[in-house]
Amino acid sequence: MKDMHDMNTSLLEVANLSVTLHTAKTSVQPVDNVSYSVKAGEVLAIVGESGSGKTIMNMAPLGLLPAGVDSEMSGSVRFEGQDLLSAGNGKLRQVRGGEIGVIFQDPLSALNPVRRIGRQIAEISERHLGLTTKQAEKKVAELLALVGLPDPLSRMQQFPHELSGGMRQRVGIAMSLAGEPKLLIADEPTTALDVTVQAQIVELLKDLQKRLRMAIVVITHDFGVVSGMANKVAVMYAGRLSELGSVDDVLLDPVHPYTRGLLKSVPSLDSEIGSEFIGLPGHPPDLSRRIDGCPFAPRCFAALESCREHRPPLLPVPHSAAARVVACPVVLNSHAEAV
Amino acid sequence: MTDPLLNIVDLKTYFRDTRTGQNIKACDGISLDINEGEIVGLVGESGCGKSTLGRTLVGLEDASGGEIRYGGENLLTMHGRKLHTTRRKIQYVFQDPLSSLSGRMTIGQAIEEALIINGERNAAARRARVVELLEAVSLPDQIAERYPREMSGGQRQRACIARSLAADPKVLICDEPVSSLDVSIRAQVMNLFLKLRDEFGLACLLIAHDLAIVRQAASRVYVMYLGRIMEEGESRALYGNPAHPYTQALLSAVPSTNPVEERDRQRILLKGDVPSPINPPSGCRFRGRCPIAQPVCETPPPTIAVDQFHVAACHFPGKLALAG
Repeated sequence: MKDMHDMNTSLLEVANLSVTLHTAKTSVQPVDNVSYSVKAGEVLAIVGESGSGKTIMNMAPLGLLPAGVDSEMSGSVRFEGQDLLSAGNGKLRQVRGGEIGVIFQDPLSALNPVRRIGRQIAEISERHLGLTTKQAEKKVAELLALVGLPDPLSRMQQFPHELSGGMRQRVGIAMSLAGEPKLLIADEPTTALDVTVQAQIVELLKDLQKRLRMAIVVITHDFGVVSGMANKVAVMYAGRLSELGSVDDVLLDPVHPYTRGLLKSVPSLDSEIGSEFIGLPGHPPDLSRRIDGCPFAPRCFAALESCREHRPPLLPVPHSAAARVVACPVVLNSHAEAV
Repeated sequence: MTDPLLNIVDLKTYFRDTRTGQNIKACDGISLDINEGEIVGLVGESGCGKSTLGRTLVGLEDASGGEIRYGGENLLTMHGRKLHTTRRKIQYVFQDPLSSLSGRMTIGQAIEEALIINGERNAAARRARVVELLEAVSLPDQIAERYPREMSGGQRQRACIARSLAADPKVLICDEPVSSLDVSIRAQVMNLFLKLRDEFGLACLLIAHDLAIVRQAASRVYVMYLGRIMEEGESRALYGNPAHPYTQALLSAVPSTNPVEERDRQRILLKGDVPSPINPPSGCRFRGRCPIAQPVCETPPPTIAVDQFHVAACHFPGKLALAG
């Protein structure tokens, strides 16, 4: 099966994925029937605000939920044709850090504070690529140079606290690349960083993606990161997909009322000085309660009575060049008329 | 011109590194004015000293030198009761509303506590004032019965602002007031600052790293780097015609939500990291990372008027040209 994979088939195929988390008091469903795919060499951005389920959706199938969280998953997550949900811990350990690299939001908490940086990265290459200690150390020096860390040989001897935030994130990226992944999952890779460093990291990821021909799934709440590096974007709200399409289609001509409202909420350097800020009314729903209709309906300008009763299906947007779906029949009708 | 409400002159805040005994110069000679009813922005990257400056203004850090003049009088030489009553006029809003509110107090109790500290002895008057303050921040009065965990992030930050208003301040020092909030609810809090300025003439120092938010809200802005002001002036002029290479680099790094623009934009990518504030570079502090630094930059930069409305502390203001 594995050999049959070429550029046309998906590297990652997520179908009808739902994740339920159980706590002592209640159950919440942060991911509700989500499907998407990532081809080799593609950059997919998953955008949403806090609590939209974007991180859980990516971490749960890899077995990366915090210890003690009781989760239940349904649907399928196929990586190179193999379902990760039914894979055992052994297989997951082999994929994680190997064919799938992960960049964590907070680089400091992803690094062991009492071990030297070089050793921490080398360990991954040894395990996943079967390198000897010597080979692995050479590889680490190359990786640190690749992510733009000056003087890699002496950096390898340092501890995480000796580095600045930007350098730590570069180390985090080097670490995610140590197993030569085909797919990189980057969870808010720039959130803890300043704008100038953020620009450097986005440039670096774009450059690495081209050079190593990796696919990237970048999880973010920042449309700046999306427009800077993604080909495709999935917008999530309350655990569901609200819109999925090419980055140009979605960012330049958003269809779903949530996407539209969210994009308008981002202040830009072109906004009128002294003008009122634009936001969305209300707040996101409580995910421990069952939502029958559209979860965005209470905050939506276009909502009809029926929106609160039936879950809106993901429908294709007519007249769009690239594949594009939107979970809002109401605006889809008016959008079709406008085109 | 009337005198500024808050007039900060050559303010220095140094911390002592206990290991080496050296001074960490977090704020190193900052002069800054805030006029009555004015929103002033203070931008810069982490570690530039902008939060230390804000904390020094409200007495959370001790100043090592300079003056903080409120209504013409220097707070740093004031004592006792007078200092106490003057300080109340300058209130602070923290970045994270959840950690600055007690989880065991309702919002009403938290605001009442602030009113008691400010000398309101009459319980009925306090309760009436709580309702007024909640109304001022556009929260319904039932919120008084709620605990912080029962509220959304935007509501919590507005409740914190209501509590700050209990002291009847003239200036709010807001350190990253919306950075912990989701994009779609930031407007609730930002519009509140505009409203408080328009309705109560409340001035505000808006400390933030988000350049677009500051530009939209503030009429004047200061750009800070490694303990010093690099460029200052009216937002329209400074953002429209940034002259200091650091300001230019900062602005060129702000991403756009337009993917087509993003693809062919030119960025000034800064090399290296911010140097240590223990031993900052002589002369211009930015020179080690500046793309157009010359030997003369080792001498203190002059403050040059870029145009009628803004100045830059740079030997070569406006000389960094963006390729393309």
